[in-house]
Amino acid sequence: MIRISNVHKSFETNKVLDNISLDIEDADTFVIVGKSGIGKSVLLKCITRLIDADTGIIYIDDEDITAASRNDLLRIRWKIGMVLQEGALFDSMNVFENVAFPLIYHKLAPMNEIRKKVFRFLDLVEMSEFVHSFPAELSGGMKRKVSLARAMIMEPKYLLYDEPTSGLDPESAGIVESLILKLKQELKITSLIVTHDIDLAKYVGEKIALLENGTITTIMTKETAFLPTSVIYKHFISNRERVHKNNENQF
Amino acid sequence: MIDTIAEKYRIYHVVTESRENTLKEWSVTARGILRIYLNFFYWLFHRPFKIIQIVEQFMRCLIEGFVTIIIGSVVMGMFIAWLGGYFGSLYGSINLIGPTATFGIIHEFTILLVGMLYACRVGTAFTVEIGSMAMSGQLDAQRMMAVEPIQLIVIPRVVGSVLSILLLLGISNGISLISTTLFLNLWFQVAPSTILDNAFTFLKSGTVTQSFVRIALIGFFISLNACAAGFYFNGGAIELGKATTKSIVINFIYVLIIMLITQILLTLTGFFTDAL
Repeated sequence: MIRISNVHKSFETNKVLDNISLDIEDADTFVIVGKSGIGKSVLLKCITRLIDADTGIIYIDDEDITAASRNDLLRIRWKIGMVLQEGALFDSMNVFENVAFPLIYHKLAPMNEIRKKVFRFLDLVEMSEFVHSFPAELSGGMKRKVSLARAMIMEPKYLLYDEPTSGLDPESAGIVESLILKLKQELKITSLIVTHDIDLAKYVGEKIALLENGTITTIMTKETAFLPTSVIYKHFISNRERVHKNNENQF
Repeated sequence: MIDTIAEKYRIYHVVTESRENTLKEWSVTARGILRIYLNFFYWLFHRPFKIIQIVEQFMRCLIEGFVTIIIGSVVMGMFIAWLGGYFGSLYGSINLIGPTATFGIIHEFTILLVGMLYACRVGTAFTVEIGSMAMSGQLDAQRMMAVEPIQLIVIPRVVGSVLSILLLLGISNGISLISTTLFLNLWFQVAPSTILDNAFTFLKSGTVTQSFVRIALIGFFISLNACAAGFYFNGGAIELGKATTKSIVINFIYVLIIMLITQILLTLTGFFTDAL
């Protein structure tokens, strides 16, 4: 379980996260939605301690990551896989080396086992045929898939996704959405997704939270989040319709 | 001509803001450099220590720096040949060119040349490479795989740099001497035997040793500074450009300061006079 308690984060005078508290139960698919630039990625980075929260406590399986020593931090991060924006693949390595990297670096298995494991996860994300390609030769959607396979290779308990469909065409976004669902069903991983893509939230989310003005204002289940009366629906869908109408009137 | 109060105020505001931003940027860079020094020594003594990555970086630095340093050394040899040949002929001291040129090349000139060129060629490559890794989230991706980027990215580059710059200094010394000899012969018809027969008269083993110690120090600091400029930068392409410029400026100043401090130390300890 991931428990976030009273987390604050500011950059100079800009308050980004303001008293965030959240519980993410095991095997849940939790989606945090919010506008671009609202602090969703900052929240993910605080959870993994890629950046330090100013105040607040974050527990990963009852271990406080905010107070962890350097060595403990490395150990806790073993439990967490992360799919970063744009994939963040290593440019100098091909697809195989990218996915195998953590296993080879930490010498977790003999090379023939690593090879088998890499191909198993590349098969899962349907990227086995691109094993020798370099990131520069892949499309945005392909990079996300490889990034997903790389995040999965350590068999983490938690998988965090930072805008997994942003900048993708509808077909590629659809493939990534299906993959997230497939991985969830096959591997029973706890997933936390931050996105402004409401279609993604609708498709994969079990619980959906709205991040507004630096704080979580609403947490809803999939069933209630997209009813026309819900805050999340109003925030994203009706707001968009309102903007369209205003613009039409102006033009 | 500034003809309105509003315009004067606007310019004053822009200048003040730009000064504050520059100070802020330099303070961030200084903190980054300090952090990387501490982190470097902390992680240097932690496992895993991958020899293969150090070898890769050593080869890469050697290959990247090689052509630049060869060209620089040839031009520097030409410069010394012209200066030595012209004044040597003028004052009738052409016989002294060999030992003085050799001493100057090994004691000072090639250290400065290799340090500066290395900062330009290899240092900037480190800054841009690590900076674009930071920009595209690759450093964060490494941390999420329980890999410390200082260990994976910085330590092999710094150790590889120190080793390769030693070799490049040796190469530069050789090329500079050959270039000086050839161009003295070409321009002033000084026979190579006049230069080479007594070229090493002023040289003691200490002169060579101190040159390698000094270049190793330069290699260490410029590679670590270059890594820091890329590692701790924030922002996009413009900021990466600024970080790269800072990396060169800082490293040039570092090369001069290291040259000065080591020179003072060598003189005070009597090493310089002993070498003579």
